[in-house]
Amino acid sequence: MNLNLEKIFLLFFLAAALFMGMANIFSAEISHPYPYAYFASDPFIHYLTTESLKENGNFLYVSKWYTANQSNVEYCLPPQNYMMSAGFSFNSGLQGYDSIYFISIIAAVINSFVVYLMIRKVSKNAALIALPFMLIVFSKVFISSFTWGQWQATVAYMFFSAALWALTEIKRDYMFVLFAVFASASFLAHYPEFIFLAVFMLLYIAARFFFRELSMDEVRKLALAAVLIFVLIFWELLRFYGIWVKGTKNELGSSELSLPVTGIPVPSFMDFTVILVALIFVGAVFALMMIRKERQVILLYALFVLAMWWSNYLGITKRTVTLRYFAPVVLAVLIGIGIYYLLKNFLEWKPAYSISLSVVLVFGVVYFFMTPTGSPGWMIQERWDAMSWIRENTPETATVLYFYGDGYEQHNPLASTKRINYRLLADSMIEAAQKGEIRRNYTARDVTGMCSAMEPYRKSLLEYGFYAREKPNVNAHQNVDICSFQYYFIERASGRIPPLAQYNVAIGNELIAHGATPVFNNRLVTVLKNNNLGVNCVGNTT
Amino acid sequence: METRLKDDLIRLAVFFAACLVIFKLIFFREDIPVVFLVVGGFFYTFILPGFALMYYFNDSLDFLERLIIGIALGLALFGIVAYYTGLVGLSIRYQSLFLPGLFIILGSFLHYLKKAK
Repeated sequence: MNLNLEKIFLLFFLAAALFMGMANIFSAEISHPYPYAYFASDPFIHYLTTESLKENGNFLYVSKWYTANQSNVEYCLPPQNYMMSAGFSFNSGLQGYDSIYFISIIAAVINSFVVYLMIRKVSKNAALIALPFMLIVFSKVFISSFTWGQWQATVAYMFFSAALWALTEIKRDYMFVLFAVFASASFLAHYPEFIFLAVFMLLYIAARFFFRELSMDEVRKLALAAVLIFVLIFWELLRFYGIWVKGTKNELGSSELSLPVTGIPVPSFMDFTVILVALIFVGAVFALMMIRKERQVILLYALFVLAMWWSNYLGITKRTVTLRYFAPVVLAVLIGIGIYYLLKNFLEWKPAYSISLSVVLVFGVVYFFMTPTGSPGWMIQERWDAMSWIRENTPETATVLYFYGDGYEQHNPLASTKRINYRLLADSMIEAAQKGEIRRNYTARDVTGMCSAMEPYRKSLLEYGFYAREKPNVNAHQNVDICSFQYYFIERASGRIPPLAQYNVAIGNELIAHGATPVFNNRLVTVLKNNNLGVNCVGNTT
Repeated sequence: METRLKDDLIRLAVFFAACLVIFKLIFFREDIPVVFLVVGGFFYTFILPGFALMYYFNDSLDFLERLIIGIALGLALFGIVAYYTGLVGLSIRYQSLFLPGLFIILGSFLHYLKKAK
């Protein structure tokens, strides 16, 4: 096969992946004036974490604006994505919210190429045919992994695949170092993928040992890699133990066997379509026959992912969903093998056929699977402008009260003001509105915190305290006096509950009547400043 | 300059140019300077350092393998090293400038050491 033709095809695939994934989600722009295509709360956690890191310069403590004004709160998430994104943001000039999104999507593209390299060792033809099907990761419900912010997992799976690639080359001098670096990066990106990798490695080593294929040299190199991994992840391992294992021991070990998981779109096997499902199983049969002769890592990996598709029945429901999001990249290997070995039986196969077929398949996958996202997501220009005004024109310790807004129950975006934020709960407002009352007291919650149930701070090397649990007011529903807030964020329109938007306006008018002044105004949002803090700001209105 | 290194640098330059064209075509609404900064920033921060370090394996792995795995390596190492050096007080703002350069120098040094053997 002409090598240059392969490289040209790979560039074509890169263009197709960017078109179907990133350009589709980003509306053909790379930089945006506000967090674009953020469809859930989680992406905002990632963006705001990147912002906090960029401000502080390191991953020691979270910025005070993101911790209910505590100064020693540690990040509850692992660092890899944020370090890469902050660095890329500085070097590219992209805003943090674009930078971390870019890195997450590009990681999925790189993952496809790494898996391609692995299957290429088995059969270059099968690899070329498999590649177009990896684009399915950017389609249907699978694309939710990006738009809903499963970004840590995206990156961790890329490092997972890279570690497996290094495993296939482990006999080379110092390749164990690469294996250790990739495995460590996987842990530092998202812990569960490292655990999947460890399980896979144990099964792989056990199989090689069982068939007496494991040489002493390999054992020595894997042992050295294990030591290096331990060194590289040691500090994060302490954090993982203190925050997630010890800190959440009562919340782990869910025995939930059924899908869906609350609030997350769950990929189903039929999202691949009937034909591709059949090809996956045909490929699995060929793969099983092939690994009887040789334990090829990529084939075992593909069969492992196929088996883990149903790992929710082992009680790891949420992580199964994450694995399913990225499964198309690995299951495409089985599809490629299925198609290639089926066709090979009927045709005298020539390498040029593979590239021609792959080009057609790329167009086919884009045509049949592409799922336009077609929306800016949670954030819109008017909201962002108002939040930016608060961020740039108010004291760092300013308190902001959000009245009702569509989607505010996904409250992480509200922290974009980088101030101390509370939001009124819709139920409390509805109750008052139904009685025709404008009250001084409503139920609200603090929406400043990063990992809502945690706010971890270090007590000793292995022990963490959690502000969110120790102080009842942190992240809890509470009765608040609206006159004690310095700024009010009022949306004047709502697509979901229009009467509540009218009620927002009514409270706003009352506040203005009692001395508050509008300091920012656009088509959607009014920001009011309370000039008489603590004094009755709404009268006794019914 | 070694012929192989020269060939690889030419291939890398062609890849950079191809990425610029692809990004501009796919992100057709984006301004050219932004595309240049994004592709250039990604190359400097992750691709060049990873490729330089992978050059240690230049006699056993082909260009494609070194390039693709090099990108993953650049991403992995930047994250890991920046995390730990950040904990000892070095700001990510400065690390993003000098870490890639450091990795490129380290990759060249490893290549030199291997050749000297």
